[in-house]
Amino acid sequence: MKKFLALLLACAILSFISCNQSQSAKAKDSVTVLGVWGGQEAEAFAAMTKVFTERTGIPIQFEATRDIDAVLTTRVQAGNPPDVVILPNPGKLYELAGAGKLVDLSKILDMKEFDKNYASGWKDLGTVKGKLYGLFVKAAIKGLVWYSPKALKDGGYSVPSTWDEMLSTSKKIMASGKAPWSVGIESGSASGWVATDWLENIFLRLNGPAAYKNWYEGDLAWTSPEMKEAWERFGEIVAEPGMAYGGAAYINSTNFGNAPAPLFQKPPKAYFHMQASFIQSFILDSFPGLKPAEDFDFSAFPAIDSAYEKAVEGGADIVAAFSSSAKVKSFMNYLASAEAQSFLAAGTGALATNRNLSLVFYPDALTKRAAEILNKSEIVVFDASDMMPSEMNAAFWKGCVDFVASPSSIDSILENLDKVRLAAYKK
Amino acid sequence: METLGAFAAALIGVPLALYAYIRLSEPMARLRPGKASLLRPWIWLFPSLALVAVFLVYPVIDTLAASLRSADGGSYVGLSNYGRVFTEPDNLGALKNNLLWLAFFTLGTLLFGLLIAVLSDRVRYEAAVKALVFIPMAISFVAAGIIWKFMFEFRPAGEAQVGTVNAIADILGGQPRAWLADKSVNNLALIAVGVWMWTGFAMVILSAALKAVSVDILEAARMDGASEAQIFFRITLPCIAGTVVFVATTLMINVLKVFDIVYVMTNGNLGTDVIANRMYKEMFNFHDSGEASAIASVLLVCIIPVMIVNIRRYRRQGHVNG
Repeated sequence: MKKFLALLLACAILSFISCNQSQSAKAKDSVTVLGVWGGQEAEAFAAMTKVFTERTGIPIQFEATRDIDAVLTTRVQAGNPPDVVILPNPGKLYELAGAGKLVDLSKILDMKEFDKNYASGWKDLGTVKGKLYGLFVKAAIKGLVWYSPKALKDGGYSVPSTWDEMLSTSKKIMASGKAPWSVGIESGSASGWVATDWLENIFLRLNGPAAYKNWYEGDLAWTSPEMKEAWERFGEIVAEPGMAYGGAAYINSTNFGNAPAPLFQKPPKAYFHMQASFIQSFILDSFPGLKPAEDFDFSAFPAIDSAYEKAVEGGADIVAAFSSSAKVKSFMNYLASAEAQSFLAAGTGALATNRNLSLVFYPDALTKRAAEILNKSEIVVFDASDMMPSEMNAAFWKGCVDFVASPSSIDSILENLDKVRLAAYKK
Repeated sequence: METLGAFAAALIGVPLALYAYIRLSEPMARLRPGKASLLRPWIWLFPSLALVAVFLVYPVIDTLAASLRSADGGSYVGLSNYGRVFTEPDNLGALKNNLLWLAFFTLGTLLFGLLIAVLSDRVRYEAAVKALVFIPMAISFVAAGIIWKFMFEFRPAGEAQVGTVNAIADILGGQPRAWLADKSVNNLALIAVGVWMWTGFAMVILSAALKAVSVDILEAARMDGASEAQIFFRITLPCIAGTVVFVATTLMINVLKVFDIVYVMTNGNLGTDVIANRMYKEMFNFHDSGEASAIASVLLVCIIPVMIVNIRRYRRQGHVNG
């Protein structure tokens, strides 16, 4: 009896070990990729890698996780990193590059091809201490002003191109008893990020990319006059009675995905909405009958200082490599190519960072135009809050929520943010 | 395949290993004749004790140690993390909110639970009422948070209200409120969600205690001409006092740990933060294991006295009614 039991036990343990082993054997000849993409993004990625595998015979093993910070940290510490990782923001890239964990991409990418295809802004963002560590893919433009062309025409309003024009148009709209803007910054545990995009776009157009860089790197005080002016201008939208639909109560309790809705109600409750290029899919989800470019359209964020009117704020996912083996090399070169990025553009409506991607791959006219803006822009900066240490970023989100609730506390909010800055950048 | 293997190992392997352990340990107990009956319980207890030590005692000690260390667990910083727990405005706000939760959640749940238990005791459709009130207990906190976000949905005055709460306010001629964004009501709105979820728990246990109150006493009181109110306050309530304390302490332990509802519905914005959410943020957003551990330790110290009361009550329950 005892022998029989021992035998059973041994079998159970052996089968457990063997199935683990078969898993790791498979991983040996393939490129392992860890990333946050799921759903539509993962499908587009699969279509993209399928072509690569057919051509080279190198299988790609993609592992998706929403908790990339924890998973990646653990695997790097355990000495078992993936070959390639797709990161959602640059903070982690800089951390890994600083710790010497990543491969210098200029050694494995065809740099002549790279320089031809990528704006220097993307290259600079991926560079740490003179070495290229991050390849930016799948971009979005932040800070676009969305509107309904029909509603504007009916009201006799035009699309404002400067901040002052925006204010005068807004006053006209308010005089007719309607709200010019619809703003919603609720987003679960990330509530407030929409407002950080507002502030980033205002700050960039007020002070330019150099000051913008100082800001996210922690060298600019939140209590500085430049910063305060940006917040006060944001206050002209969210704190002015009648300016934003529903006032502070609506702004703080409305999810960003529902915030464009008042523009498309009949009759419209608001006329303008500021959001990144990805909001298009949210608009189409809520109002499937609308046609891009016809029923809804966007224009650039209103210019403040004319010197910076061509500036564009973008967001993107970043690819980095932990290995410089031949198969990783060939995969990274493929990822950087216009061909690979066409799959992401066609499948998700995301913008390619490779500027030589033909515009025909974009699913509709609006996305095409967004891609054009991104390709032609002279100044590309990354979402500042995403570049800040996580504690600073979280405090920034929260500060925005507090500011919307009580704009008169601006000084104490900024002082508190500066206290967080002094602590957060030291770590 | 991997999960299947793990599942098989758990299903067959664990009982097998335990069985083998007890069989093999028997000769060990017999090694010392005469002492075998003394030794045996400890040998049998050993696996559970080892598990408790590894998964409960060790983490508690480790957390206490981490609370005296810096953010990355590197250097010893004394009590400075605790200093921050009791001085940082974010933490003080969270502590204050936990007190709000402690008072309003416990009282609210207890009162509604008792009310429904007493009232439903006297109607024919008792089972249906109790089932309805109990249902929220079966929903996960996260789902409840999302449901109530819809309930509290806000549209500006004059628009069609899509959130149930504001729609009712509208029908009654009131003004719509942004329940989760308005600082004067948002904490109470969150607590209401907690009460909605836990009333079923209080009701079920209090109802069981009510049924155990002897009918003879109640009848005798009625014969003597006592009013229903007198019967409730002078007889029923004293009889179930033990259960009321048990329910109250259990609720208190749960409310001190409240996290999910706040995390899902407001993430502590606009003055609604609670200690457990602060702890989560320090640990997983800001990677400050020192302060997070200090908050956890404070929480533990707050819960211990309530737990002791609860356990004592529980032990006495064997020979005291209710």
